[in-house]
Amino acid sequence: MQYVFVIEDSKVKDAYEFHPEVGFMLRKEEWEGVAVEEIEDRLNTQFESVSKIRELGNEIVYEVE
Amino acid sequence: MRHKLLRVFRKLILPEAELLVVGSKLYAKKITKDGEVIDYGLQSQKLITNRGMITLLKALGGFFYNDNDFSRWHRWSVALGHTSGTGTNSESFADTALQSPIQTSPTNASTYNYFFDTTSQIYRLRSVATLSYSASAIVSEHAVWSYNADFSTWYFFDRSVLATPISVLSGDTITFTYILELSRA
Repeated sequence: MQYVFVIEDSKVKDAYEFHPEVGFMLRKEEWEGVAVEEIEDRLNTQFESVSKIRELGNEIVYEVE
Repeated sequence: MRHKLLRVFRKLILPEAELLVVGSKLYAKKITKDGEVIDYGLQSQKLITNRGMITLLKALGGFFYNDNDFSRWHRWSVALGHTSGTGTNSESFADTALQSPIQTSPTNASTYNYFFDTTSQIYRLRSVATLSYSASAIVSEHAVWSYNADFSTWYFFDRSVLATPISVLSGDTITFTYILELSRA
């Protein structure tokens, strides 16, 4: 499963829980407004494994388990 | 005073082909009071009525819950969002995402409509979006996503592999137009 963060002004503008194997992307409103530097810490509190797989443009994508 | 003219190039494009065709088939089977089954098989291969086609189009683009109640809108929009990527794998019926996305989160279509062309008898859903690029890439695949606002969820709808990959630099944009066509059999 992936977490996709759309960044604007160093904060999360949109966040999605993405299941690429089934083509399903659920908006996670509770992430909106979170500072970029807090994203990884917060993910680590929710998932056992967190790894950044892409950062391009205004998007950051993590693989989580 | 000389004006700088913007150059517009038209690159190689695919020849257009007939797309999706919608029809209906009707089968019938009679069971007598004695239990005998007589299969009459295919009885009709007919057109879809105007009403049926309009219902299909409404389902594609969202629709009012009730024709007499315009306050309740079923918020379902097919092929509303666009993304692109650099993957070159052939298109597959089993695709559920882009192979190598550049944008993972869909960009909303700037133009989104559906209409019935009374001359060609073709119903079209058209979705246009402009995607931005912040790094150089060779864009070779494109996806459209449907959105259900009631569940705040994007659903993958379709992936296309470009016949001519498009090379972009940081700051470039590509405007994609996705058209879904339904014509009557």
